[in-house]
Amino acid sequence: MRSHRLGALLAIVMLMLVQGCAINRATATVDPSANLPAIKRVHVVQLQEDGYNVNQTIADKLNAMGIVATTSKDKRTDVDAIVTYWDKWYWDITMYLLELTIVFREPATDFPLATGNSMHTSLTRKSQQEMVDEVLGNIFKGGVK
Amino acid sequence: MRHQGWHLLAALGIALLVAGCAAPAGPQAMAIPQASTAGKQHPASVSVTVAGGTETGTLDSSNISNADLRTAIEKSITQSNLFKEVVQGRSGDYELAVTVIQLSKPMFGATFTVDLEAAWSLVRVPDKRAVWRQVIKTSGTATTSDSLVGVTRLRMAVEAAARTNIQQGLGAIAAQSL
Repeated sequence: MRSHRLGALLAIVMLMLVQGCAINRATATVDPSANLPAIKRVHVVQLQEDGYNVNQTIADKLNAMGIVATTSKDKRTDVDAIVTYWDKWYWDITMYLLELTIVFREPATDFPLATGNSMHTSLTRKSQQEMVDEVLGNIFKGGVK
Repeated sequence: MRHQGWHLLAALGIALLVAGCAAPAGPQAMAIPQASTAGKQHPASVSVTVAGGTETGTLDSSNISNADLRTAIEKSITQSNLFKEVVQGRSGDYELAVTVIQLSKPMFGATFTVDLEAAWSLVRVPDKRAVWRQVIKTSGTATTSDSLVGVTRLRMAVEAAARTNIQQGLGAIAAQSL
């Protein structure tokens, strides 16, 4: 009887833990002074320790959206915007991209013009490509002109 | 023997839950004291908007919510008398928009250092012109002497990073001629 009660308690605890594992978040903020449709050329700055080539996935997606995008570890100022990002990877059976933040910045001042963030925990994980698509999609919700 | 195993598992589960019970960064702890803007007062009213913040989930680590950061900034402006008045909505002379860009938190460690990047811009309401804008990056650190409890230590580090960010942001606004 006592072990049944303990078993039930453990089941409740485990249920609460599992519930907490399904976190989904997708947000984007565009500064009022930003004119996103005017952005035609960008440069994606690769993180020093990016082992997944997220920079290339972002650049490829932007090119597909009609924005000329280059990428390297260096910064450039001869573009309409600099794109930076943070990727947070976790392991759960396999490695997956837990959270991705992409920021469009003014090249001269580094001021953030637009920011997008997506987070999907293990049970609702998305591929690297899907995460990039979602974040950029939310930033350019009005469409690229 | 079997009962002991259940006890151990139940205790481990509860410990995991308790360890994950993080509190959000508090507006009181993020607000700055009176003397931080050197007594400068702009003879205008201001409204504050905050974006990019995140609520703290049940099993999440401490985050900064938009509402709490806005309260902390409004309180800091009021306490420092930086503007004549803080108003709600967009009826003020100026609108101060703060966007949380990135909050980087460690997962383990004795000393927690949190990095916060926020974009600050001050817009004159009548002509919607941005009179000042700046990206502000700050850090906050909490050690085991601040708290032995990890989640509390992390919250204190987040609050310290936010407090320094508000201090630098309002300090920069105080230096402007509006």
